[in-house]
Amino acid sequence: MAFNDHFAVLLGINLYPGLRNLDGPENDIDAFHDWLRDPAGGNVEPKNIQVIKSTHFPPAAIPNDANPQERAFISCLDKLVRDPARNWLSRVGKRLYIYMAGHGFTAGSVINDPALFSAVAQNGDTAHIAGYRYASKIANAGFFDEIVLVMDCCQDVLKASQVVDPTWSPPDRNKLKDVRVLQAYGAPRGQAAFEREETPGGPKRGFFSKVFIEALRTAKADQSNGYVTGATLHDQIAQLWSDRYLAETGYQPQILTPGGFDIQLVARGPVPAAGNGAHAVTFVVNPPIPAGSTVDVTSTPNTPPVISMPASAVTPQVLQLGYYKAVLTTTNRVYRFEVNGVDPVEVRL
Amino acid sequence: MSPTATLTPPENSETLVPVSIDTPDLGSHIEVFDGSFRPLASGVGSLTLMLPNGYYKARFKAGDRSADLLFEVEDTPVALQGPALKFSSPIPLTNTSNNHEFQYGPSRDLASKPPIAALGIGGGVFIFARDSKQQYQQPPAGPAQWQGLCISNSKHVHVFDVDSNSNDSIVPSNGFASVKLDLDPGLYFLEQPDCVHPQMVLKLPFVVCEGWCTHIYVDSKDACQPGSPSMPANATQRVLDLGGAAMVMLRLGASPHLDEEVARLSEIARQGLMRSVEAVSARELDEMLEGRREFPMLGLYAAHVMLGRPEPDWIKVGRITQHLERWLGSRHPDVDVLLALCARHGLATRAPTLTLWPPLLAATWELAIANGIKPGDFDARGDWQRQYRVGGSMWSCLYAPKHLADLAAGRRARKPSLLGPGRKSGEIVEAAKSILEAMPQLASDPSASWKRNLTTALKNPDPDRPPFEQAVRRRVLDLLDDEHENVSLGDIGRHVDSLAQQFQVPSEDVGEVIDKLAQKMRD
Repeated sequence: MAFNDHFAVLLGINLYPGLRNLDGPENDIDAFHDWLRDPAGGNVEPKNIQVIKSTHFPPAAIPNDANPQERAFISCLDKLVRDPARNWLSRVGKRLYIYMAGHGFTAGSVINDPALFSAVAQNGDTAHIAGYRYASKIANAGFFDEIVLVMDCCQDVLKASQVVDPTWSPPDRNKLKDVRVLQAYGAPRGQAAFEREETPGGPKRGFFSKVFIEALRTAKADQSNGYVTGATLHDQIAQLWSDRYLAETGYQPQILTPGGFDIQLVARGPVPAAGNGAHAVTFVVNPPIPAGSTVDVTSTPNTPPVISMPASAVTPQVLQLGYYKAVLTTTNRVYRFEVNGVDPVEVRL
Repeated sequence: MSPTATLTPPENSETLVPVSIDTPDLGSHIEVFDGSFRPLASGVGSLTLMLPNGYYKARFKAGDRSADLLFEVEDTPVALQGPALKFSSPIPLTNTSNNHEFQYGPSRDLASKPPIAALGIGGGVFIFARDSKQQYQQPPAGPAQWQGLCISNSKHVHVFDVDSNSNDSIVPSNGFASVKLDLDPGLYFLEQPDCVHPQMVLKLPFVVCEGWCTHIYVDSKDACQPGSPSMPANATQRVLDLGGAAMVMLRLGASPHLDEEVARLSEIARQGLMRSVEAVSARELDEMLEGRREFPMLGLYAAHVMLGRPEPDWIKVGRITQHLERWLGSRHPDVDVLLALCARHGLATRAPTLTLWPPLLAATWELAIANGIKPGDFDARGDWQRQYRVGGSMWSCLYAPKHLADLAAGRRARKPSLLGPGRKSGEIVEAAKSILEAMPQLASDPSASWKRNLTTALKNPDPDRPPFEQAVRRRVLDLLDDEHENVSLGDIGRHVDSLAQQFQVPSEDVGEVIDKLAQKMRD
């Protein structure tokens, strides 16, 4: 059964007569659209998904006539959060996905304020859609419990320009604090996003979109709840990106998970017995391993170990968030480590 | 949190153990966290605190680098030494991540040589522009980073072309260009055309003071190539990062050599200010307060560190400001703003007449705006340059059309705006609305032809207009295009006001834009 209370607005802009055309955004939007409809993926009711793409509009000869513009995006939002008489609704659903791909920028000194150039952008006109600002307004109005904002675009810092606040103004219900917002940005502030053919002569895909959607499909579940969460998605993206693009781009994409309870994106696998906030820790004991020695892990000095296991047969363990010390008994090998729920932990003794 | 902190003992009255943490760099920021990741205490350079038995983490930050150190507290006092962090710096410095001998040596040699030209007397400037990614004795990968680099005066008139007049000190194969000049005291800009939009220039302000040589160090960064404001895949070039420049000031006649320790402390302090991290130690502050360290830029950073605290110690800010004034002698816009602020807080400093604008530090500019401190000469104050100020840089960099000198001259001859000066935000809406509605053609226009006129007139963007005007054009077009909203003149005024607040544009400039919109509606 698809989720009736999940919604999505997808925006992919390939054609920028005033800038430079791209090839990847529409492919990226299509791939995410596939994942959203997949019962093993987002499992969103197809009628709840709105898509805006350059190819939905006639090609424009001059930048001033190009589409889509911000108005198209606003129209999609209005369909979701306003009734036919254009009154604002109260609650609309559980989750809203907003996915944007195209040229982008940021400005000012705010760290996370990305904007997608609309198709009409050109020299002297930074027409844009301020992605995070829209997400904030939607969150603050309390239309949804969760918002997943994905922006696969550059975040070059436009020098004297500004990302301007949208004119679209839903009611300010002060709900921002209650809404979980997951932000995923293909390029951190000041960095470029990239696209490339997947195979020679094949379709182009944005680096980030490709990794993001693959991570959605392959990320492990949080052991505490059996869901792919913002944190486990972050870890998987970090891993995939490190393997493929880190050396080339020199940065890691930004995945900003909600504060407090993380967002539970996709149910996956059985829920293990570990309690909330527990995270897996792996152990490696280098030879020589003295006979009879154990790996003892303490969470406080001079207290009994929270874990004690034979050094010759270490196994992955689940630990609560915090700082720990592992020692290989009968030797002076010590490893202090931190379980923070974000970075994978491998204890090497 | 303070450099010395004692935690409240837990309910079971566990013994508290003294912990002292030091860092090799006096400016390194230290923060200690407990096992629940709660920050317990912080300090700069060193930190002493009392902690109960447990595991903790100390985090060290200097410039763009940080490192964590887990430690345990048992029964005996703990003494920790943090690492020397190899942060990156535009100044070639030992123990930094982007230092090269083939740039370090020349930067010191060239600084100690005589100036190559005397364009004035009393002060000087030394500029060292480099690319830290350049390999030793290799042909550069792209166009020279210092192409078009030049110096202009406070009126935005070119006074010296660096790239065409410094042949002896430009070594592309080792990735650096340098120039040393004698200059009159005053405000100048180091500027370069934008690599994407060559009709625009990026301008870094700097000040030359009587008896001082201002050293400016600039590294390079990746940027997009011409043709796209958004970076095309795999097409980047190296350009100078003027917004990330480092500055130090050395006394003329004293040793021309950059003191390694002072340069390092200044850099940590500058980068700390940039990242809102306290990076001036108590010892440095004390020495600054005593006037023992004659390092103006470090003093400026220290003053801002103190002003950034929740409750600034104005006595200390005043003392540092007085030292700065004594050292520098001649006019310096940042020092003048600080002096004016101190005078307002009842300190016995003179309130100067501000004649130079803008201040070097964006933080000083913000302070001036927040406190209504303006240069004495209204026409020359250049507040309108705010429209061109670069966001995100710690310096008051401008990103402006090449012909800013003409624009600046034009500002002095401009007509007074209908809106008038000194309007506050809410007043702008009302004033704009009344200006627009007072036009008889509009009031008696039931077919609202003004909307069509305006849409047609705004159809094509003008890249030469300041960013605020560009944003107003886009906003008005979007409003007029909204089929659901019957946009009124008042709505336009409200949105212009909202944008003016975001762009921090003074009301005179808003008035000009409103005047232009009204003109377009009439036409």
